[in-house]
Amino acid sequence: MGVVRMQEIERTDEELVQETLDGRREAFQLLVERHQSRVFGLVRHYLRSGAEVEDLVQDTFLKAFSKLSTFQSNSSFYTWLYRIAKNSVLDHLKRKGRSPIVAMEDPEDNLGGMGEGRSTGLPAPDAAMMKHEISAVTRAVLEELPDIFRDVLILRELEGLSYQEIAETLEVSIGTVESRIFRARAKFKDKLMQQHPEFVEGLS
Amino acid sequence: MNARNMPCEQAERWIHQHVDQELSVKQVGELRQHLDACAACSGLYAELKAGKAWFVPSEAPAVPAGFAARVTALAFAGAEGTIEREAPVLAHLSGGGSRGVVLGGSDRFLKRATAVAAGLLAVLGLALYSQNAVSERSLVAEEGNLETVLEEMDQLNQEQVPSETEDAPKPEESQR
Repeated sequence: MGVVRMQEIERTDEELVQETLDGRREAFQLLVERHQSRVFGLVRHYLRSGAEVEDLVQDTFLKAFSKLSTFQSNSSFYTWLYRIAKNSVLDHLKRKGRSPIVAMEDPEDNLGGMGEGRSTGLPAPDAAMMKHEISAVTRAVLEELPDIFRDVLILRELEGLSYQEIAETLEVSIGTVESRIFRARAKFKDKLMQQHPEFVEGLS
Repeated sequence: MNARNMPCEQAERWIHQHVDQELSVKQVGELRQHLDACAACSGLYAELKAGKAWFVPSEAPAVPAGFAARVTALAFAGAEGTIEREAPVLAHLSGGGSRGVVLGGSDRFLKRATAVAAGLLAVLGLALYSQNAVSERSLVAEEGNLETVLEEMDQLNQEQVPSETEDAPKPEESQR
């Protein structure tokens, strides 16, 4: 790897944003290269068609480019990018008449507690299930969850974000993130029981 | 707090945080003491940990070749996104004016007007062609009819010649 390339990798996102604002296209391309894989992965959690995914990711980066001067470096570039991607997905689904499921209750009502009695765990997937089969079941269950619960499970379980990062991404408090995660797990189990009761036999 | 006396409600919260690796080392130690003494919480911890297997971390998705370069070119050209028909404008580079907008309102109008004009031209062309085709057909004589007409004209000529000679005044008589 060349010296110039090494220097580019060492530059922070904030530096690249500033250089893009100064008109350096290489800086923006490096930003896209850094985050494209995560944004593709993220959008794929919400959309099925490969063409739709690519269009949405492209749209996300173009919107980010046009709003770059509004980026505040007090949050990470990725969490800022996530919000743009998520809004693009929601707008796209609305245009297609596929509105996401919205939670009917306010999850913040139960801040600081589980809210729905004692939580229960999830059964492990059947040992004979292949990885892609597990993913298919999980995806189908997630699609049935209200948006606010699906978001936290995707960010926590599939994207591996910490509570702090999720809070920044969703612009909510850490307490709200905790509350949503606890309740999202209960909702996930409920939907899993509805769709695949065979997985949950024997559990309370 | 005496960990063994930790309320199950708090232990429950900490169990969720523990499976998400959000607890400090000290808190993990306290929780473990509670789990050792509480079968219900211990069971919950085991289940939540096992349930994590439903969430298979995403494999690195395949990004189309040249994606970053393509998006960068589009962004700096001010080209429109493929989903949203609103062209992105880099306000800080375009000076905040409307010059950075590609395919703005007037451009969209021109595109639509061109499409309508092309449609009208196509309809006009079809009309002209069909009219021409009709006139060409009317010029084609059918062989059988032509012969019949010629024969009838010959007969008429033969019939009319004698009568003209009888009825017509002789040149000498008219001069008188």
